[in-house]
Amino acid sequence: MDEVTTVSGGHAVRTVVAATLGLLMVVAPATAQSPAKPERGDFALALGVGYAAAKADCSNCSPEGEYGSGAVYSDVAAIAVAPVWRVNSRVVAGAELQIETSRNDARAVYLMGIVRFHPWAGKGFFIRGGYGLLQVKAPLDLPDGTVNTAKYRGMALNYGAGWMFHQNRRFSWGPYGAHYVGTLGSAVIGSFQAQNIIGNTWLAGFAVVID
Amino acid sequence: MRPLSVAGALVAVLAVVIAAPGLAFAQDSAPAVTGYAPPIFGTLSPDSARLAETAARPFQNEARPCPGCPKRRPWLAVGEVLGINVLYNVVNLVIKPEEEKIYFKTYPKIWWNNISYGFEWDDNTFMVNQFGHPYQGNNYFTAGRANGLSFWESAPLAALGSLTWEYMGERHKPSLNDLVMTTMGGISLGEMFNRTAWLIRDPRQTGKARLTREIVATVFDPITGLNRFISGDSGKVVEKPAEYIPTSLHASFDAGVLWQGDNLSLTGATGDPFLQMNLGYGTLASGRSKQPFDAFLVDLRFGGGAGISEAQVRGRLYGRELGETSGGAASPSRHVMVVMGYDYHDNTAYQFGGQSISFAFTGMRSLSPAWRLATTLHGGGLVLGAMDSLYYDGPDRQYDFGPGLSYGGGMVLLKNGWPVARASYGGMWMHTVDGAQADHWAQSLRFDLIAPLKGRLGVGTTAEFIRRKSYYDAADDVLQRFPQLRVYLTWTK
Repeated sequence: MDEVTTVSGGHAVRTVVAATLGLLMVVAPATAQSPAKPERGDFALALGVGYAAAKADCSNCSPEGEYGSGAVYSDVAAIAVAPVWRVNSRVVAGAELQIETSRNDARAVYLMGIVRFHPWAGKGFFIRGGYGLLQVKAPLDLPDGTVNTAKYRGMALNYGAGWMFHQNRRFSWGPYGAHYVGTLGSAVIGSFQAQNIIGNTWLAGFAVVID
Repeated sequence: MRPLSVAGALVAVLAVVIAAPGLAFAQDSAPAVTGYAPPIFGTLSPDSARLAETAARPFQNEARPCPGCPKRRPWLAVGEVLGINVLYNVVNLVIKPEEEKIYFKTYPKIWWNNISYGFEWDDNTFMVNQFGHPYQGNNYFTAGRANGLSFWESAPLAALGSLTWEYMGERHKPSLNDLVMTTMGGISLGEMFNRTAWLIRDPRQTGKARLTREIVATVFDPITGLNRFISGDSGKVVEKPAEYIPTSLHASFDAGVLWQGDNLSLTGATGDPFLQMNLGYGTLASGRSKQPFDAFLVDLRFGGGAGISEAQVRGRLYGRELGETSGGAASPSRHVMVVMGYDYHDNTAYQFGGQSISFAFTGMRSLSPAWRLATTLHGGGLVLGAMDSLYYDGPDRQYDFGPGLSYGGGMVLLKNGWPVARASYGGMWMHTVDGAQADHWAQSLRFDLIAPLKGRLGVGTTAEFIRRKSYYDAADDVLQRFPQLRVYLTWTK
């Protein structure tokens, strides 16, 4: 079996999703009662930090020549900074720079345009989506047993949801979860050409927004 | 992902719709309380007089912004999105061959497997990925519009429907191209179909004419139609919502023959008959936009090398005039706009499909009282495109996926509002992220001439030259050149 990524971790995704849902359930009653606040300025800066589970696969990484090499999730730490602008009382749009790093020194940098949408004006719940570029620098375990560090660029998108406390105040904050998908195309790694590499990252984070 | 049975699902929806009108109309034999249309027959009855009085008062209903607007029901919209997935799933379970039914038998363990596996790229046919999925996304999107949500509120529903289908609707692993095509294509097609169906509906009418219009509109937008029949809105006599009345409407229907050559020559090319419909809803380069897609263009071509050989939608998300104009049709004007695009091209020469967001600058200048010149420059991002290539993945897929850029410009000469000559250039770059690693460049140069014959009838000819070069990382570069000639009769409304 030809694996493109290093392997560690167990049921990371399950933990992430459970933690995110748990956080959302805890904060829901409190925020649902908060009244709509007067709007602040158009510009805001969001800072985020989080834990993620990430894996990568490719279309010829399994003996059958299709996705499903058995690659599993690794633990990843992530930080993000996002300058955003308020489009209206329910929509915020801007850019996001997110850097992820794993224990084995793999690093992914996402630069994306993002949109945050609050279905209910004045309420904390939001959904978000983004689209942009991805750069990955990673030491890769090759089928011949060697390790090769390489840098690749590709396309990425993300979607997610979260909750904001103290919206429209000077500082607002809250938990969020997101799924990042990055795709790198084909890449020569050592003597092996990995075709159609795609990565999935599930993130549970906490953000502070300075308005 | 396996091919979806769009047609099957549509038939099922229509079967329900056809069964529903009787019930819906039976409940609406009396004019709606909120109606303020004048009586159709006879004089005002005492009841009608009261209705007229009611209508004279300002309309106030938090759930309905206007008497003819759909009632605002966000949670029902979400429920319908999930219901649409159930419907697609059940239809596939019913109509698929026995050996394929297993792919649509899902339960929580399958859902979890799909979620934890994450996204990959799929190997479906060009038609399924570039038209089938956007069509399915249009159903999710219109569930929002049918329940009183705005364009922007309905957009996340297309993503919700796509995600829940990918994770829960089938056993095939979730696919990234499906998520993008279903969501973005669904938004473009959804708003286009929703507004087109509202062109057909006339809620001021009653009786058989009204029913016929509601049914035909339901063919274009099944979800909104179904909601209207179930809620009884299909029988209420009210004014059409203002947001669904375009500032202008232009349509043309072309019928002719298309010749597609190979490598600079048209010699030996056989003519393919085609029918084409062009719809101009609102005016893209006019005024300030009030809502997304309050102006859009649709080109749809049947025949000419494939069943559906071309479908293009260009919807204005935002637009405004640049600078100040002195007013009047004769004064020069300039506009800037953000346009959302859907493309589907499938013919003997090439295949291309994609979703794009572009900026466009337009200018309009009067040359004389009868003649005007319109110019356009546009450029933007191809969020995700698909283009035929050397890549083969299974028996169904022979194309690449990737993001890129699109750009172009053109000019149209109009005589008394009738376009008589057009010249345009378009270019596109796509970088493969799934398929045969390559950079694809495609350019097209096109000239149109249209001469009025009699009344609304005209004759037209189009000469187009398409140049495509693909730079493959692991294969020789490929250069293709396709001249194309079309001759047609055109009827303009």
